[in-house]
Amino acid sequence: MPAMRTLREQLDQARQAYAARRYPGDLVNELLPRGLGRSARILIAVTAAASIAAAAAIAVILSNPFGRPSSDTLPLGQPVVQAMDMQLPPMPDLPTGMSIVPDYQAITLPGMPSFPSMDAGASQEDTPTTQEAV
Amino acid sequence: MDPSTIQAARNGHRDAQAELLRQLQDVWFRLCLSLLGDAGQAREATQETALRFLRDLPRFAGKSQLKTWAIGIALNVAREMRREKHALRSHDRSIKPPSPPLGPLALAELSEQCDFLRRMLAELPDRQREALLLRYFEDLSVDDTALAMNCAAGTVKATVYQALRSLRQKLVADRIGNDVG
Repeated sequence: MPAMRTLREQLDQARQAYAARRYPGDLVNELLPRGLGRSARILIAVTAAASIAAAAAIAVILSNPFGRPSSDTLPLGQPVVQAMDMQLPPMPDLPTGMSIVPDYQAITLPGMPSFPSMDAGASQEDTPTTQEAV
Repeated sequence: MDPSTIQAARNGHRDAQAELLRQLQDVWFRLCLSLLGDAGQAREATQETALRFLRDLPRFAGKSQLKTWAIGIALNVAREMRREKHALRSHDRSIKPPSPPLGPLALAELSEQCDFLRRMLAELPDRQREALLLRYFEDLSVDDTALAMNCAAGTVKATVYQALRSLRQKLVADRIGNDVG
């Protein structure tokens, strides 16, 4: 049984060497994301609360800028609905006592204008002109 | 491992998860190193194991010890990586000359320490090496080893017996060889 004893000794030695092996690193740092510190968590909480408060204030101001809305001011965001009078005015009365057809009037054309005669011009040729008179 | 820590880790508490990872990282690494034979691959396998461990922790039913369950995850990861390595090696064999079965780091470590048994362990079939590592190196019971290896307890006993017999034969042959030499 020396082989068996030697095998057992070898197994023990190998087991010691096996147990001495260590992972060359840190799985926690390699795989798990780091958590935030306490101060960082407080800072984030304060910032978030301030943001929410500011958003709420802006919402209140936008929805109600000058107190209660008066009757003159129109509410924001609502369509303007105005009543329109769609009744047509009554038809006008036709005038009475008037004849549509005008009264008869006789139309007379003026006489044809008479053109001056050429003979009358020829008789005036003896009259000297102004230059000739001078 | 503390049950309250396990429960807190299952509920997603970071500190509890970190505590479990610190307790398991060396177990995972030395197991993967012994199965894969390469420190770089063993580190990668350890990280992958840890990710799957954290992912599946809420579904841990508690039917076994957490360490056994965690070792089972590491075994599966190491088997997958071994299959990928064999597939790559068989693919590269048509192009390049065959590479040694162990990585350069593991070979250097082996040659430095002249550890006969570890060389013999590396030559064992994968299932025998797994069973021997879990049973004698991680001190798991037969039932826990069977749970981690996802096989029957009888299979574990038979596999460990075959592994020890094979080692003994190799040891005897080595001694005879040394005496003749």
